[in-house]
Amino acid sequence: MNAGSYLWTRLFRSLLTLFAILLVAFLATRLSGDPTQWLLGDTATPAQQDAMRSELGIDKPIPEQFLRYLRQIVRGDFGTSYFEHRDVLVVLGERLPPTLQLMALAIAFGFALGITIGIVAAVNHDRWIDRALMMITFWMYAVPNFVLAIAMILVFSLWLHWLPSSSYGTWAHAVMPTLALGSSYAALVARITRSSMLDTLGQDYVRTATAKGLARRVVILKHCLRNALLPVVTLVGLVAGSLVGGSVVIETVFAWPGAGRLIVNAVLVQDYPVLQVAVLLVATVVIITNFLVDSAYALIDPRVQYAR
Amino acid sequence: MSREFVKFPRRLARTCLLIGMLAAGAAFAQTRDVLRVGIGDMPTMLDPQAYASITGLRFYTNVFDALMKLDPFTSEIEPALATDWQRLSDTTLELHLRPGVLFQNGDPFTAADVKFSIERVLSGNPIYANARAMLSVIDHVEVIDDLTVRVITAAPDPVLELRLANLWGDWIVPQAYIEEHGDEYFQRNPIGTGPFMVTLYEPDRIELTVFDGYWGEKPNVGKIVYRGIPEPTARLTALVNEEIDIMSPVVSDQIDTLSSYSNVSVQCHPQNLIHLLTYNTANPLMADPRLREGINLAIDRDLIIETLWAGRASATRGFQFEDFGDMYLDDVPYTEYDPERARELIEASDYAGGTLYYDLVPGYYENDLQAAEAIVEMLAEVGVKVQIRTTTSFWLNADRAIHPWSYAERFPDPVAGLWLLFGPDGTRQAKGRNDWIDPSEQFNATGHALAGTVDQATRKALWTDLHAMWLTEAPGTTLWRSAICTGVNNQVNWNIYPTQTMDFGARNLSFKD
Repeated sequence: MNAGSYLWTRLFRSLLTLFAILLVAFLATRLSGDPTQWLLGDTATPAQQDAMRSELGIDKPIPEQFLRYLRQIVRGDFGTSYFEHRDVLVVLGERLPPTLQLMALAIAFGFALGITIGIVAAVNHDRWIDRALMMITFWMYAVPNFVLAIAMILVFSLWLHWLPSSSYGTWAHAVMPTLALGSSYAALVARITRSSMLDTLGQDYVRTATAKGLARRVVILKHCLRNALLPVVTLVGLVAGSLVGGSVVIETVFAWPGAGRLIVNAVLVQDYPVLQVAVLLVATVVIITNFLVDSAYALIDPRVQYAR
Repeated sequence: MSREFVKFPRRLARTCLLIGMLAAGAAFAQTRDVLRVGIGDMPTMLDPQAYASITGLRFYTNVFDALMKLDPFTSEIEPALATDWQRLSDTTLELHLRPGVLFQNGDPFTAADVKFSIERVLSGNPIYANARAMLSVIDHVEVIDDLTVRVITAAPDPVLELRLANLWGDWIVPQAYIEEHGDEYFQRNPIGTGPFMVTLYEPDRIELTVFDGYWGEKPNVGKIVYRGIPEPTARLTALVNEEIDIMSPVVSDQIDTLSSYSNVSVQCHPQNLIHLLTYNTANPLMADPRLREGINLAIDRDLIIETLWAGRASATRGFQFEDFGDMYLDDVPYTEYDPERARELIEASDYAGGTLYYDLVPGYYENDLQAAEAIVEMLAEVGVKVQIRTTTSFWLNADRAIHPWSYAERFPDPVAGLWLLFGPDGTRQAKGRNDWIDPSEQFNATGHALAGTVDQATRKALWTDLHAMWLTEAPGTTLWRSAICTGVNNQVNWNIYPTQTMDFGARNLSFKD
């Protein structure tokens, strides 16, 4: 299959996936409760609730609501937030950049630290440094990110006064959220890099490269690491979705004004339009990330071919 | 006259105002430049009529004014944008407006803005439903001249002045500005006549800057920065670390921790909020009022107040607050705890041992789940089997028997309390709700008489009867008056009001050296 056909197939499959996700999200929100209670408060009468349901169009049968929603989407209208009375895309547009920034920082941090630890541990296989690093990564992976977040706030904000405990805006505000969100990811990357590196270190071509008299640094970084990277890159696609979940907790702890908290709040108050678009956006981020990961395989290893 | 000619004086006024503000800023240094406030949740908009809520009250007093206002502690009516007023008849109130008041864009405040503000709330738009519930008695508003306005009600209303001073519906908004920019723009870019103007509105950060054209006393701070910090521990850390000066709310298990720091203090005040239980009398198990009265007598409120609330909540004399003034029924006993009598009533009732479902949305009210667990045990002691069900909506399950609710004081009078919530226009009696399906005709007749009678002595007698009937018919019960706790840096002199209003005006905010 050539690259053009491959891209069209991927695009078609992605759209099908998005449609299925939208359908599930739509049904799940409709079955989750009634937003009029939250909109009108607990003193509303049934007549007021009925009027509000009619105004929101949620008094119609669910298939009719879904078809109407699809027609809206095709026209580029993703709806209005029930609670903010603003275009959903505007509401999410305000919140998405901080979340994407946090996710990107966490992935970059996780990659940089994880790969470094993985390499150092692999080349020092079975020595004390390998065991110490694996013990550290075990703890990094096992400690829940909110516990790490609170511990860091205690140490770096309350005791040492080095970093602000919460909020958003400067690099100092980003340090602790990035570490808290990225640490378990770094641990995962470190362990996979280590085992992958150990596999490649034992390969014939590595012995050949060493026998040719290449510097150890070149052998490790050029010959081993490049071959060991494939499973690590796969991780990016796998964790993209879970990072969104993790960012909800971290955004809450650090008062980071991202989309994660908006989504949780939309679940609590049944803000259907926000939820539906948020789910679509998260799904799109995961699909795009996985597409980029698949594309990166070919860059890392030219032997990888686009295939059905 | 062309629109440009109308706009010109406004532009001139705005320019003069801007020059004045700059000059004033240079001449008078503020007592402090910035006050930083960390709060649990941020408003989704800042339109005080569309977003009538406790979250909004943290902002509105600082940005907007009402015609009158209630003293936060005594609930006496004080002048605000109206300087004086008199009743011309049982249905007409004439108000004289304060001259020289400006909106924060430089436009003058006039009687037309009053008419516009009230009629905006009375329009059929459901977004104003909470505010409209307070003002729905108003038939129309007449502008007499720029500084005189008449408010006419459809029927005699004894509490019209209180309605115009309440915090949930009576904010004055600018007619010209809203007509020029639209409602949606106003929700994000509001202006009022208050001491501060909104200068930044982001999802987790709102900044208010002092308005030098304010008609009243100048505040002691130049800017207020509100930060949304949803996680209580993060709020506490930010306060202790002096990243913020005020945090609200402080949750129960943080009080001891905060008290251990020398740079901050915890302030707890009674809140104008009474926690309630309401009973679904459409459920056959709850049909007998003797069972309901028995349940009311079986709850040891003092024990829960002392343990769960650490004494911060307080008992009430039924469905009322002390600030009712002449209408306060000081002979109503604090709700009794009498398990022996409860057992007798329950044994005499039709209740034959079925399970009563106690539905709640965990965390909707402070301590709600813990209180429910205690109440379930207390009811088991008198032979009533109750099971807690957590839910996302109070009304999802038609077979519920009990659920928690609350009475937030809109203004100090029973027509905005018991009668508003349990009367025929309120939620409990609403058709289709299946809540209180068997109120007596006498209860409703007495309530209607209370709402339409102007004579104060007659009103008090009617209120006495109405309250007694509510206790006997027992469609619910009062539990306790809750408390609100805030954490404040020791350099700041400030108090939250019982309504949860955060007033950063000159009379409520100052700084130590």
